[in-house]
Amino acid sequence: MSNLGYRALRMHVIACLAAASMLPACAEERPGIPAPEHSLQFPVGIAVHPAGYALVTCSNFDLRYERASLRVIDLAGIQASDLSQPDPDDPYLERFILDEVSVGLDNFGAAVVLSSDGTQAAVSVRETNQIILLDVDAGPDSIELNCWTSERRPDEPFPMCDGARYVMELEADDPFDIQLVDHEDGSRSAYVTFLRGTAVEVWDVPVDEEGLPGLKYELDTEVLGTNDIAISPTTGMAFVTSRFPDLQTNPIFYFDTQLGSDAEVHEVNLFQDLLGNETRGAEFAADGLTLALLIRDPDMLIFMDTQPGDDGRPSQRFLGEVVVGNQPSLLRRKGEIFFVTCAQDDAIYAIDGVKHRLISAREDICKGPYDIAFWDHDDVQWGLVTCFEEDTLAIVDVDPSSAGFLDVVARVGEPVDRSLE
Amino acid sequence: MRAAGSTSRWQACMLAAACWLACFACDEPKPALTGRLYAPVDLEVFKGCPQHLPECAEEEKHFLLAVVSSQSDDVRIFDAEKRAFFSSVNPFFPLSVPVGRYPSCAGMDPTGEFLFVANGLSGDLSLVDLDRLVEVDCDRDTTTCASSLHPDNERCRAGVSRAPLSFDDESVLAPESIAVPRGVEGGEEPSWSRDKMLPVWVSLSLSGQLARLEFTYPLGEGIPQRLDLAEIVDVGGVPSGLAITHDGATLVMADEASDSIAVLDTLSLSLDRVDAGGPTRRVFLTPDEQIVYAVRLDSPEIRLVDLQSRAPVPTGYEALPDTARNPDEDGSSLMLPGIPRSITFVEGHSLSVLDEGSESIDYTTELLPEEEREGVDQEVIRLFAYVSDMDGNVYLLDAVNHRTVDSQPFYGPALGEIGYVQRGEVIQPEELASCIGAESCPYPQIEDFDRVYDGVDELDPIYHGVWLYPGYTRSESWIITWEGVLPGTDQSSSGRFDGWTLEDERYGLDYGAAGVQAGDYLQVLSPPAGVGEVPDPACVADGKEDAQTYFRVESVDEKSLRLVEVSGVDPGRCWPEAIRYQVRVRESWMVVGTESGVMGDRIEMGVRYDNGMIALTILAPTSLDENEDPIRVPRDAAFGFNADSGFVHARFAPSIRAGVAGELVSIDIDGEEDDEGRLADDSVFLLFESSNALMEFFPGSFESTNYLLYQ
Repeated sequence: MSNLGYRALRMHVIACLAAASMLPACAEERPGIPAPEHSLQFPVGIAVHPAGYALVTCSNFDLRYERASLRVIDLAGIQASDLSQPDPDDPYLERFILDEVSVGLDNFGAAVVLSSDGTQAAVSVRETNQIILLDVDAGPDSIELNCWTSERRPDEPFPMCDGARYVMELEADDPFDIQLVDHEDGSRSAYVTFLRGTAVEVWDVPVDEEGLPGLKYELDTEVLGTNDIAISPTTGMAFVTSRFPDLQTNPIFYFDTQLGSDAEVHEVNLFQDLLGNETRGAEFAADGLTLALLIRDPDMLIFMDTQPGDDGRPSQRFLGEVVVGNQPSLLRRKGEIFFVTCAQDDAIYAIDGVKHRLISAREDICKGPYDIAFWDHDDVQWGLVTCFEEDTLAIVDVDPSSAGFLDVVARVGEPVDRSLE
Repeated sequence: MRAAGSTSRWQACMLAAACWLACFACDEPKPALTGRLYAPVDLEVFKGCPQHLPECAEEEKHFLLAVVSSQSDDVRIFDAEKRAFFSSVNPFFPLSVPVGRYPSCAGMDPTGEFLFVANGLSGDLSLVDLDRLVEVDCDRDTTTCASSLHPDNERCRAGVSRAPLSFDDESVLAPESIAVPRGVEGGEEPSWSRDKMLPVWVSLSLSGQLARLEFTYPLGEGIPQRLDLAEIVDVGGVPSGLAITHDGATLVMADEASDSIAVLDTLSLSLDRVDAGGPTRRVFLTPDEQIVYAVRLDSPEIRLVDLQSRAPVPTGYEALPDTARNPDEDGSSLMLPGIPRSITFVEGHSLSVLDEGSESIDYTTELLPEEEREGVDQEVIRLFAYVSDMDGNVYLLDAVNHRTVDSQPFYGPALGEIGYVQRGEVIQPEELASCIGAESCPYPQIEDFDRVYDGVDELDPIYHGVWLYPGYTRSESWIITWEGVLPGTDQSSSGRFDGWTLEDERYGLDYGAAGVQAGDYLQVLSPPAGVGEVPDPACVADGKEDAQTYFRVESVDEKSLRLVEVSGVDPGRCWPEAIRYQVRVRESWMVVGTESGVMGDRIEMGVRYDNGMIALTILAPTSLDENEDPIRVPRDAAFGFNADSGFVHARFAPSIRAGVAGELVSIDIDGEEDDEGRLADDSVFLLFESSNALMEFFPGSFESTNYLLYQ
């Protein structure tokens, strides 16, 4: 197949998948085929536990198997293995996908986040409009996930979580991004956005074994498709991006989390653009004041100063921009470097967050790189990239001082070539 | 485009590459097949042969654009006269001249023979032969090639080397801008002598440096061109856009990390810093090289700097009529509605603006109103700076007087959304409007307003109407508090001053019952002492010229008012006899501009945009109360409304917003003089960086739908 033909087919596939993502939760079919062991199926979200484990939501996007899953990957084990000499019996490092501690999810599992102390994980499930909470007990030698009322893991592959303690039934449709925020009084909140809703829901998340989650309040952006959310640890101001607005203005929304349900939602239109209808990613720089925003159409990363002015509102001073990729997907930060994934280009871009310049790009990470999380341990700095289109996890060198910066160190999972399907 | 390869695709590519190499292994590199523009970042204009006439004569050459696309790592060629991209062997694809990784900026030699392309991720400079449209060698050694090229790459096999941008191979540089002097020799079209070494300056934003390279033209048959890194100059900050004088003696650099721009003497390498008010991303020299236009990074602002004196340039308003003053500007910079990106200077065409009758007139330096225009020779402006912005618009600046241009300079302010509040009850604009002209209306009404150019009388006296000074901001909200002469206080002629106390023993008078409060104003209606028009000194406050006739009430008794003392005034001497007077509520006729429309949220009053004022006529209620008496307006009554003072930036706003507007160039394509013997730029080409489009629009005709979009 020619390059052009391949790309056309690829665009078609991506368009179909994107269209499918807009459909209401319709996957009642459960063919009863369990997901293959030690594998990934349309991996989407990823979070890294500092003890050396990656939690990966496998969305089961084509509904091929009976359920989605949250897989656990042993990063410390991978690091300890000799990556220069792949095991011929396990060339895809599948033995490090720890099915025995992974759990099942309803279809279209999306984001996964960990609390700051690493004791709790939250996963958004788009099909059932739920957030799944999991207790995490991880150490150097093992990890346990618990999301069962009985506090005993059911004796079956990829057991589903149960009980009001662990399953949050959300008010709006299609939850997408989550932010867990710890408060000074020891409580914890989850901020949830919705791809098919206009709201941001704020839930009280229990930090002890007895409590139950509960909706604290919700704020309405009045624009469909709240996407990503970033909350400044410095000012408490939350910024929400918007994925499917009616206007061609690339809007973002912000509110003061310290005001709780009294907060007023403000809208900022970034650009007037014929195609401009998706603000995608939002991440704060380490200073908690510089906000990086990833936008589609125009495809760029922009930087804004959110330092409050005399009126208490963010100054929204424009600080710079970098053109990134073609239809960029997601934004993450490590130190002073922002990483942008671009599923359509199979690329990752690294941008200096201080001087606002592209410092490196890699176009052949994997097929469909989507989310990226980071793990620093000993002398390695890894970026863990979920490769949506080929069912793998790419491990990338993200040490900026390394000559192999953005080189793929290893791949976890057997790649699937969907262009041939 | 580059993407990860499946096995089959990889094999196909390898096969194609193998065939290609087998056929042309030792030839010059050839243009490659690619898609359309892919994140275009820079463009340069040159004259070259159209594609269908590769061996053309000089007079057959066309204006061509070299468009640098950062994400396809190449340069595309656009024929500005045929309005088409050069095509490759397969006519469905544009011709592509591959360069290094992630090219970020370009510059051209004065003769238009070579294009210098800085590669952001390969950290080097590619040299493109604009005659042959291929990347060519830099080091005169065909046995070496650029380290950033794969050894099997055809350009490497052809010996294409690139000039490094650093003596340290490890550093990440992020080149941002290239400056090449155009030369001052020759006639109207300056050219650089091909015998001289040509300096090529590149800003390196991540390392805080400037790289100077030296380019030598081909020296006859067999001695090709050469491009070498000559030196690195540490300048600090985050060097960004560059501009250089034609003679190459002075280099100007924007800095994204400081509040100044840098001016470098390229001979001595001495560096001056000039305040720019904040970080800047681009700098441009006016055609006469006198003024630097520095594009701010963080603010919708252009700062002006005099290149000779290194001093900020005032925007010239003080010496000009006020009729087009931008209310957002303070005289030190040019303010725009959107974040500016880049600038090109466009010569020749005048700009139409609207006069008082909505007829088009040429924008002039003077911009006189109609009554002043007759018989006056005004200077029609024909040099403009076109500024692209983040919203995809292009704003026009007067590059003769260095100011923003109001496209409706004679349009007076207008009112909208008039509301009324009385005893806390909000009367909506619709209800208020229905009341106007009615026989019976319980509210006061703003019946009409007139725009007045001559503002001489606006303060004398203040009761004759409400005068607005619109334009402190372009669009703002106003609140007018009802004047309210307190009933009963305006019927005395028996008041007398005793020091700073006014006493009036008139029967039935009770100041408290009349509603007088501390803070209200006593207005003396009797004439002050004095000779003719000159008041007695006892009537005049310190530092003033006119008699003081208003006094603030400090405290209220039944028959007396204690007044706030005014330094220099002696009321007993000024009005030794009984006086006529009245008392007005405090803040009577108070006109307050607010930013939010909320009472109490006041902004400082002032005149910054004087294209006329509004004189309002307010009518009292026409209804009678239950006692058949006229309805009195309570003291807390207030009007609120918006005033749009009419400053509208001259701009080209295409009906299609194609994304973030970036670099732009202007071209006089037809080269024909108008009736008055002037040349004019016909077309402006504008890049949209992040949406892969090239737009052409026309300075002679600014309709929003009059453009061409190329992709």
